Amino acid sequence: MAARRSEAWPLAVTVTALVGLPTLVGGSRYLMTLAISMLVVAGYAVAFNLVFGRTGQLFLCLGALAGVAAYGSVLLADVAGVPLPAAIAVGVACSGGIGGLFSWVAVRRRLGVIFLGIVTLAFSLVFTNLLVGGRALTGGETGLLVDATAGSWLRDRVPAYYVLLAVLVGYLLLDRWLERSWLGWAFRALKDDPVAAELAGVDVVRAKVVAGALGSAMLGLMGALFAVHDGFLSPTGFDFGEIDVRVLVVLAVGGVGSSLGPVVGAVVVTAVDELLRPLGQLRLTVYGALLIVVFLRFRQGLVPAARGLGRRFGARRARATP
Amino acid sequence: MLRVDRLDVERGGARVLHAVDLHVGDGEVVALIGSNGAGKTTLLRTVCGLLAPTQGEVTVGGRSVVGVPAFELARRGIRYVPAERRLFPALSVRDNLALGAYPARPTRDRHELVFGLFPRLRERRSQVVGTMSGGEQQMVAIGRALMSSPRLLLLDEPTTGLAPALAEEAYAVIARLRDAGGLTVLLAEQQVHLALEVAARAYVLEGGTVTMDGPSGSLRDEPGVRRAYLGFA
Amino acid sequence: MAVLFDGVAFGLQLSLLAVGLTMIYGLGGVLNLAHGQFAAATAIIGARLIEVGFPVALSVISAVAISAGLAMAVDATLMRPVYRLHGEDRVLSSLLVTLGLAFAIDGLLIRFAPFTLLNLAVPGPAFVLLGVPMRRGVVVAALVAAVVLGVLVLVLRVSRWGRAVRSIIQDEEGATLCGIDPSRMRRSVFALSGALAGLVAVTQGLTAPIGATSGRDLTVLALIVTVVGGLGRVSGALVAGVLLGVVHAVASHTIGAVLTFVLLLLVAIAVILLRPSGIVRSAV
Ligand SMILES: Nc1ncnc2c1ncn2[C@@H]1O[C@H](COP(=O)(O)OP(=O)(O)OP(=O)(O)O)[C@@H](O)[C@H]1O
Ligand SMILES: [Mg+2]
Repeated sequence: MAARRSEAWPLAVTVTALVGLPTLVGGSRYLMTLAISMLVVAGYAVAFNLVFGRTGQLFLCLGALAGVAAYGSVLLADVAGVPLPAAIAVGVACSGGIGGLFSWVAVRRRLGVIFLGIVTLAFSLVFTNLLVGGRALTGGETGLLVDATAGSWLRDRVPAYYVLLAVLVGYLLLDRWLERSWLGWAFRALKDDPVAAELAGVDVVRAKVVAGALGSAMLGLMGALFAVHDGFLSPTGFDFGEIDVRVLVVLAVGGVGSSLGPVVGAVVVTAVDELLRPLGQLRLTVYGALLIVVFLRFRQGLVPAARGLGRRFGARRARATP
Repeated sequence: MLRVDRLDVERGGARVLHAVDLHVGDGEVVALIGSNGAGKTTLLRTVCGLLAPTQGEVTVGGRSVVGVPAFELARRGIRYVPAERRLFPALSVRDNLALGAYPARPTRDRHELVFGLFPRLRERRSQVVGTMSGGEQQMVAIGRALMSSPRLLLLDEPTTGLAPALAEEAYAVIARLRDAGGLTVLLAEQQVHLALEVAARAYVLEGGTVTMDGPSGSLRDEPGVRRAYLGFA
Repeated sequence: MAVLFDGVAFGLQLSLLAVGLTMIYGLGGVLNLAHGQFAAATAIIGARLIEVGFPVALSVISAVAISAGLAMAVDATLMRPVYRLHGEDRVLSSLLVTLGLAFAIDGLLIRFAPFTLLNLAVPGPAFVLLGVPMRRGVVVAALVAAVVLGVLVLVLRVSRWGRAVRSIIQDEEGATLCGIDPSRMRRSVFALSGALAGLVAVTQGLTAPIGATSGRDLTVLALIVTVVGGLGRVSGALVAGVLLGVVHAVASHTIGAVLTFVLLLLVAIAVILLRPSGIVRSAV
């Protein structure tokens, strides 16, 4: 209890800093683009944290789930002429439905982490390949321009930044609220011991399906909003190697299971990513190495580990100076 | 042969064995009796290296076994036959027995010895073990342990799941092994009357400590043992 | 007919690719998502050795040996903490760690050898098999794969090492009680799987040039075959490889490469949902 309460302050500070960010860098297109992609990654990470960190379901199709809503809503709006908000709602619902379906099937068929991982990875590859293959509709590898938001305020960086930030804050509030609801209780019981949780009357199916569907819908909403802001969609933007790996690294850095971790992780990873840009493809190697080191050495994430270290260090100093 | 000194073992954070002292002489057959959860299996698994003690010493032939990996102890001739048998269900009887001799090549003599003890296994040597009856599987399990000319045989409830006639048969084999000499046996058993017939001595384990020990004959007349383990009121 | 032959030739290589992956899973309960990357690394190392003037055969053999050594090193370092975990935790951390390894290798290969290709094309006229002309490289690749698989199956059946491997797959504790050291056997099987993945780079190089970016596709193909054959089942990997090879050939012929890949993925998903133990009915 105390641990979660103590997260409220750092969270508030972080959010305030993010609100103030455009007043500092709002003039720079480059920095604002970066800030926006940071928010999107943070949103993905909070969503994935709900699915993986809280209920232990390894979805390896984060990019695809974001892409379903993004392509879905853009195609609905541009091709079928559906009003944009409705189109986005439908797209997000599709992502949520697919994610919930994965969870439901996984629980029902008692798929372990390995099978769920493979099924979702396969889905991710199917999705990317269908995008490439369905050239007539999706523009294939070249991508797709979004007409629905052409010339709208959403295309401007600063307003879009605030929209995405509002969504991110919404995610964080939702996350905290869930933690306090029956679901949070179910999550913790599940984490301690799934079998015991089931015996103790936790509705495992419902807890997992809700987490899977909600997390996927959150991925979808972030993906769709970013797409309509950016005005351009392409398969690489939702590729496994592009999105999933980055989110895994963010979660590895920020820590699995906490609320703030994904946000801090996103900030750190976005900054590091920019610094490493000159390395080109070697960044993949750095990310790979980071994943390995973090998951082997600090299973709770780098930031919590560093904080623990700091606390221990502080405690020692406190003892040293009576 | 086997000496256990002030042994403490924990499982899942709880102390399961406490200050257990026990010894088995060369060529001796000793029984370990006690009710469910007394710690018999825990003791055998510690001796064969599958569990590590928190305190105390276990030596076999004068050498400590603490901290030595289980596969290494098996190669040194300390063979544990678990109650759940741990056979290789998709392999034939012959292959299961051959693996008992690993890393050496299984010799003819050893095969003959096992088939001599369990003639039924000779008939069924090509059968896949997973399709055999519980009694036959128990024969394979004991046979597999004998393939390596063990020095110390640790048998955990060799009669689990066997009909009374088969249980007696299993103990007849253990008696033959004892009479042939050269083999030291420590066996855990719930069917106390059978165990006391074949074992020279026995230890009673209760709640993780040894509460009684002595020659089988005198234990059999002990009122506590008669009441708790032999079904006399 | 030509399609069928092509399919079998490709399928044998798929089996070769998957058999190592499935054995590692059977032995240690871990999945290696960097399996294809070992093949890609072998291709690059082999190509580089040929470039600097080593004889082709020597280059290829050294590259395969290096792949085996790398795999062994991975087992001895990265996988050690993984084996200390149990059950789902072990599977999960193996997925994350080998995924990290896959990206690490990909990054290195793409950065330092983006255009290097291993090309072992066999010159000369096509063989004619039952009236069907087959490219020499394809025939050689299929033969190599078939012979290696045959030897592997034989060794698993009759050698002491093979029996020990199969015993661990069936019951690790039982094997330990027989004096078998599971961690040493795991290491030898990891090395073997590295060598087999490397060999696939060679057979692929015989049919078409193979380069740095092939790792990911090969890993996914290996995963599909492994899942369809049943995780941990050697015979399943053999059968599923050939079967999917034929499906692959027929489908590429009719619906094109992209949809073929989608089809294979969907087959894997269907097998997981309908028959998670794989399409082959046998214990190992
Ligand atoms: N893996 C484990 N984790 C925690 N506790 C365990 C574990 N295995 C056994 N125990 C506990 O250790 C105690 C001794 O168990 P053990 O299996 O040694 O008893 P036993 O005498 O062999 O019983 P039985 O006759 O039923 O086989 C029991 O209280 C049991 O609950
Ligand atoms: Mg027991």
